[in-house]
Amino acid sequence: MKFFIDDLPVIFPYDYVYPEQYQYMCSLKRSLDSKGHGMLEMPSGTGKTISLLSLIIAYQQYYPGRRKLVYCSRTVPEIDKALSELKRLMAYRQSQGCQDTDFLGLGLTSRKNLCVHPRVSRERKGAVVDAQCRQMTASWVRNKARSEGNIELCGFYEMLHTMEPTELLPSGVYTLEDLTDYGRENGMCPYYLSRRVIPFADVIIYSFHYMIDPKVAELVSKEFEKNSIIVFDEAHNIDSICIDSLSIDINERTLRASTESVNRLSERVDEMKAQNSEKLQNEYERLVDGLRDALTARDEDMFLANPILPDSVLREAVPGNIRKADHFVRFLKRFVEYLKARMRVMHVVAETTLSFLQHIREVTYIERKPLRFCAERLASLVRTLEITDLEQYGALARVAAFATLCATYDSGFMVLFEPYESDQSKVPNPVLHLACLDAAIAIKPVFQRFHTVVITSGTLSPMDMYPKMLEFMPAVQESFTMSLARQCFAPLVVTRGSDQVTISSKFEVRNDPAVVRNYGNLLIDMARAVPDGIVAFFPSYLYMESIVAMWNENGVLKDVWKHKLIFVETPDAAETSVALQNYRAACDNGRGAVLLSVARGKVSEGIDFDHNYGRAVIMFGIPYQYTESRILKARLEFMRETHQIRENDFLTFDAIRHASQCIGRVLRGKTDYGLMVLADKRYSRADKRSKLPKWISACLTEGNLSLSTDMAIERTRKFLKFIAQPFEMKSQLGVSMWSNEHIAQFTRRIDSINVEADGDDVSGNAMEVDLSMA
Amino acid sequence: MILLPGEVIRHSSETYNKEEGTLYYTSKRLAWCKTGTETPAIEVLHENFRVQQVSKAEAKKVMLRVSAVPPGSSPDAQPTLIHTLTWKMADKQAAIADREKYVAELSILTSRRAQGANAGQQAAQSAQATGAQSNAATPQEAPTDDKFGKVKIGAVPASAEEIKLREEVLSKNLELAKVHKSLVVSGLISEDEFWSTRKHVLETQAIQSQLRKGETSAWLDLERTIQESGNFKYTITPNIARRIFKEYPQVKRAYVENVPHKVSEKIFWKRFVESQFFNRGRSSNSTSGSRDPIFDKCAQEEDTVFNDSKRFDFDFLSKLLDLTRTEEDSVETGNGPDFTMRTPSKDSKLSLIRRFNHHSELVLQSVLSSKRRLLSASAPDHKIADKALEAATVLDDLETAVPEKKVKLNIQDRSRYFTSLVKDKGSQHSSAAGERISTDPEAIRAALHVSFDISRPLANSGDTQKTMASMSNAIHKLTMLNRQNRIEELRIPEEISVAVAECHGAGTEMLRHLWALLRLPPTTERQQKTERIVSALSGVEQRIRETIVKANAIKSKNAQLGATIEKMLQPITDSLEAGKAAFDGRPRGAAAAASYQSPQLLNQ
Repeated sequence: MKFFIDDLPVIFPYDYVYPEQYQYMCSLKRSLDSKGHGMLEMPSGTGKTISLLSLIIAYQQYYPGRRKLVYCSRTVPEIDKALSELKRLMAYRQSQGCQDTDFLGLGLTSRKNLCVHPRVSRERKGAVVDAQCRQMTASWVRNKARSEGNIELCGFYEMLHTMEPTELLPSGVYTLEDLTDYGRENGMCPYYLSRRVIPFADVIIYSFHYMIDPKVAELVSKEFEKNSIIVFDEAHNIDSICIDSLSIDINERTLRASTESVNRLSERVDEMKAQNSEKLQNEYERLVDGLRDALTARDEDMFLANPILPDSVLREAVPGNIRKADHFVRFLKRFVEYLKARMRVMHVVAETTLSFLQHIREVTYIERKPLRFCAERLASLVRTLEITDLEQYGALARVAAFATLCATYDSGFMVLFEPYESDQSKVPNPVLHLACLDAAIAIKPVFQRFHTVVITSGTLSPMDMYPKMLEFMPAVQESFTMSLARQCFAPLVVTRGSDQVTISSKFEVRNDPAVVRNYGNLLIDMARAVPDGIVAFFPSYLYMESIVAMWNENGVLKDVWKHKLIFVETPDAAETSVALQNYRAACDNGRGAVLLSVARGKVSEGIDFDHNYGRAVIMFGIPYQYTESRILKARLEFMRETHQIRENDFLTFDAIRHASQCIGRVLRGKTDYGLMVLADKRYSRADKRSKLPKWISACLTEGNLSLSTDMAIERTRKFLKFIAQPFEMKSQLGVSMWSNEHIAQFTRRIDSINVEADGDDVSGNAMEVDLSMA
Repeated sequence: MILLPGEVIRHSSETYNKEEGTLYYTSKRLAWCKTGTETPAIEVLHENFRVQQVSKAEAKKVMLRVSAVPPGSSPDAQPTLIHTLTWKMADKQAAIADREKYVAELSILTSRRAQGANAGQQAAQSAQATGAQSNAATPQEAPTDDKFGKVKIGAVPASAEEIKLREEVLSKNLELAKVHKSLVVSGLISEDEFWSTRKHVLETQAIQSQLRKGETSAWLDLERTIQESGNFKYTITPNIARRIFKEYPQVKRAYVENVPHKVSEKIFWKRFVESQFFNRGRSSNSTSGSRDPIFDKCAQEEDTVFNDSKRFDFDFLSKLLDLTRTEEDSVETGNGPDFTMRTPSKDSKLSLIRRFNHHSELVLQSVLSSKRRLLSASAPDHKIADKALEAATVLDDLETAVPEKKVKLNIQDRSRYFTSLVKDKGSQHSSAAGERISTDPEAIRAALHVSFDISRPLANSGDTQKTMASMSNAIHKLTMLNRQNRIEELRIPEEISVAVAECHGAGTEMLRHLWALLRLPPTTERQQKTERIVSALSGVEQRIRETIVKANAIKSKNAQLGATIEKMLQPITDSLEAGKAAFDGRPRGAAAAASYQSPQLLNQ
């Protein structure tokens, strides 16, 4: 269908549009027009992505300037999905007579996901693929191959060099699969191909890290124009990603590996000195001119990614004491030894980066400035030494990044040393954490650099939290509810078991046999009453493990097995993927299955449980973070002091956003339906409910607020019986689904309201004019 | 005892099975409940029963031993469940007499089974040859029950299998059984004729009988019984052993290596249930159980298998579900997860969780393996991936629905189907239906008129059920309008309405055959048959008249009853007349044969 928002013709690749999609597009357009940031919440499963793409593509193609769209998503499957939606949209636009000439849309991902080299692509570990790729594509390897021969190069990569970047890829939309196919057919490396064509692309889709993580952003996102449109989809977790991208853990293993790497480096330096010190001398001279110039040619040779450094710093000369290769190696050795010494302490130490640096200076005489250059200097050295087996240097790079980050930021960070894994454990496992406490640090450059950054998700409530945490001012901030012709999801809050014992995942009672039993009975009864798939989420992995073991012992699971197969998430991604696949197969063939997973785990992020894959989601307890964590405590304190966010507000906000993310996974489209069971006493309290997204809390009726298990099952039965009836599309039209006429009606109504308002304004102005005349 | 739907208790007796309880023999199963409980502790469905043994008449106790296969086994499986029951009665003779009742019933089952197994005998024998023990060592799929797989339906005279099929159809489909009774049993048409127009029913039944029940999803959990001395007792039958081997291939390997030359089978299983390997899946304390070199090795092997990331077949993995792709998408960064989000290094329940996933996968694979292979062979990966992506992104409710070609749901026995819905829907349903019904008697009759038209397919005409339903509804409604307060008067006595339905059924059935024959080129054989049917028509007419007479004679408050019934039967009478007229009017003998051949000649 085609409709107009203001003067902008929007092609939408469906016959109808949900009202909230239309309104979403209107708000999005306002945000683009104003060149300001936007924050938009729209219920999950109502076609956010396609609305976004339809409007932005229309905008891009209609108005001059052709603003590039950079769309960031959480997971690779989501990137895949967005690309496929874009592809369908472009095909639809074509069929509607749009002349989108030279349109290029593509996704970026790692070598592991794109490699087509017959040998390398068989490797299962990303790091191995990276290393093997570099061994064949590094510039010095290729130089050497030219002079010596019999060195294996990658034909797919070489192919790229024979062509102009503009000719590499015909216009069109490429899903990741399309890209690898294109690479395979044309003998080109899809990974480097995608990176080369970034400047010509109209739409780029990649994961958050490529924009936020300074180590990666430096490589791929540096050249985008100021007027590019940046979208963070499924961004409810964006603060954690920001924080993660600037936090580093160092443990004993890292340090051991680092020592080895340093030794190897010094050997290489000696070797090179013996052969020709010319290269080292050249490097020295370049470093005098500043790092930036030293690394101009780093395009594909950029191996050891660096944390962010201000440009001005990079133009400075590198401090003299690390300019010489062997000096720098010794410097690294000293720093690693220092860290090792710190590891031997047997009590917890928490300090600011400043006091950490102070201590280093006192003990080792290492100054702050060379530390700041540590990561870049290491990258330069690796290049000079022409090292290819970079896998071996991962740990050292980590230590160098640690040093650079510590020395760069004064506030918003904490250095924390913990000798034990947890308070209970007796076996020492010392870890040195560099914890970023301020989410704004990583994302601030993005907000500053681009005119329009849109943050959107199904669950952003309460919406005042994000501007505070990320320190930005949204120009448009909107939350949409779901227009429904029938109530297609039912949130139920179960507060007690059939025996009236209160259920809760509160720490004091969570292992109480009565609570465990009642949680178990809820699962059994749901497995009996609900067809096909059920997904159950637990607040933490530890709790899931212990409750599953207890259920196994007291026979709960035996009853569940009678009705459905059971699959459980494990910390291993591959294992969980297989379990998921089997879970779906069981839902498809009618066996039905229960998937037990964790609210903050991988399954809760990005896997859909729509239609028969999830007729019910049970959230056992409230997924609070582990509040005894020192890092979390420090972050809470930081937020209280700088953003005036109260500890409890943040903790509840964080727990509820994860819970609502979990339960929101059941819906896709309005013909889909599902139950959302929140099994904890505390959900019935107002402070928890108020933090649920509006579209969920609006459906949470008073009667469903405090149910016992048997009541909940009765509601479930009723709901399923009612909702599984065939649903006529006609009843949706005009209510939860609009055709062109409905849009016209809507805009007329809005216009008439605006005209009235304008009229008032005009008279007001006239008055003013009169007065001034007088 | 809680009964199954449709179950009738035939006998019950007080018996022992270590404890006191009651033995029941019902129309569906043999069951034994402990005194004071309602759920049977022992339950043998008739189809699972295999062998019975009795104690000698001079023995001290009166006992009955029943051997059966576990539910869901193939019909050819060896009996593995054995239950021994002892009669409690003081009087031994009475007890024996009581037992004889069961023995008689069970022997009927045995003979019935023997009949049924005729066709499947070969398969059964081969299965027996591979036997329980060796079968245990090589877990394999049960032979398919292809008893009816190759039955040729429609052969005259009917094969034994077909007769068996017919019996099954009739026992399942009560409505058809009624028609069968009124037509065949009463001698109106022959058995073969009756079935000749219902081949598809038999075919469906033949296919259905081949459907194999899938594997049970129940978690293999060895029940331990606590003995008087306080010791535990586990029972491991060959069947359970087979399941253990399937779940834990490591145990199978250990068994093959150690039994019987190193340890005896009994010791092997004893050590198995004592081992940590066995107990780590059972109790929350993973260190319970004793260490045992054989099974420690199993545990190790299991861990290596589970830890080996290569065991997953990523080719089958849908890209949308592959979580590793996201994991490999960015450099590892950030602080590690706090300890509540990791597996604890010691005392982890990971092996238990993995066993769950493994078990579910096994159950699924028994169904899916063949399908998956097909899928991967038929389409290139890319297309599958694209389809999956499309399925995961398209909001199909936003598109104009393309009307799907739907297959009509064919419910064989409506009376049973609707009983479950009657409770809450019934009231609105009937009132809604009532409004739609015309109250004009002529209109009703028009609708009921069974008109056989040669140009129309026969299947569409004469839906007796529907006709009857709309008719009685209409009449009901009509009379409600006229005489609102006298519902009693309107009631048509049960026997009369049954008779009316039977008249309609019989008439329709006869006409079906008549018209079918009339449409075919006549032969002498058909000629005779047609004549026979036409003469049978008068039998139906006779019954119609009888019904009307009966209706007139019956004492009812409904003064109009006779007339009503007459009206109700009028359409079928008309149709019969029409049939007769067509029969009389058609060309006969050689002339007929010629006239039928001529169109063919023309075509040539």
